[in-house]
Amino acid sequence: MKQEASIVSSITGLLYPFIIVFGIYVILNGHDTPGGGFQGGAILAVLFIGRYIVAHADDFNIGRAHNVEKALLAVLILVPVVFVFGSLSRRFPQYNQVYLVFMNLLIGFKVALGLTVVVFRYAFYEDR
Amino acid sequence: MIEAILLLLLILLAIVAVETQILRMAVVFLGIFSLLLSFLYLYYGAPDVAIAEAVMASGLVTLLYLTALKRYRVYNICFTNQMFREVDDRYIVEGTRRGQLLHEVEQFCISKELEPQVVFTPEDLETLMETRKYDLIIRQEGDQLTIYGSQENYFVDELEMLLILRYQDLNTRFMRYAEDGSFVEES
Repeated sequence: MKQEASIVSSITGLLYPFIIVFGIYVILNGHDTPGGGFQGGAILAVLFIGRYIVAHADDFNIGRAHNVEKALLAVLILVPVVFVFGSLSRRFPQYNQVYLVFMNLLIGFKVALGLTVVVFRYAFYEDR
Repeated sequence: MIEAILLLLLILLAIVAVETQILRMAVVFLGIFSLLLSFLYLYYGAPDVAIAEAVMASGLVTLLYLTALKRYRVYNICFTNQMFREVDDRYIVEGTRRGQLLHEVEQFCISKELEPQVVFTPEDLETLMETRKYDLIIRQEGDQLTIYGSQENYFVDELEMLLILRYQDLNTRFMRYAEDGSFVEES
């Protein structure tokens, strides 16, 4: 069954922008409404994985995504170390919200890439 | 009231998901189950948990199960007979009793949403076991039919039930092999 179901694929194509906007909304408003980096990142990951399921897309570069995810992890550890332990948070308290939003963004992208890499690796390389 | 209805629906969906025969439908029922559970979390006043539940359980886990089901699509069946002169069209043509057995196995695969792929070969069992390319090996020695299936595969159990019920007269025997290649004694 190589051909794709046209109803499902066109409806999913219509939904992609809404999924992206919703995911980024959940990430950006995570610090004062329900949601946050993890949930928003998972929504963004559903986008990539759904693309594989529905449209049989296999053009996703797993190695590069993995590298970006590792870099994001490094930044994720570095930013709190500099900001909190460098006592920048006490010196510039007006930047606390910016810090939270930035951290949520980092976590969101890391979770999205990580979950996508996990599922794609399973789908393509894992042997039965 | 809403709470009672949601909880009852959850129990109902869980039972339906367990009892369904087709795996793909069970996955869909699990997705609906998680969506209702996230409604329940929202009702209890935990929107954060509700979002996580809706995204993870109803989106990601459903997609992950679907990916796993997609990978197990093609089912390789190997029909081997040492006496290669005996392998002829009778096994492919419907009507003869043995050909019917193979046909039955194929029909069973299709009903389980698997794509059967039958290979006929005169090679011996050891070579076939070594390559591990086949999910099911049907071997004929004279009058004796032996069916080899993996021990881990739940699918083989159902096939065994079906074949033993319908083909008692054919002298059929089932063997299981473990992951390391050794045979497990069958009752």
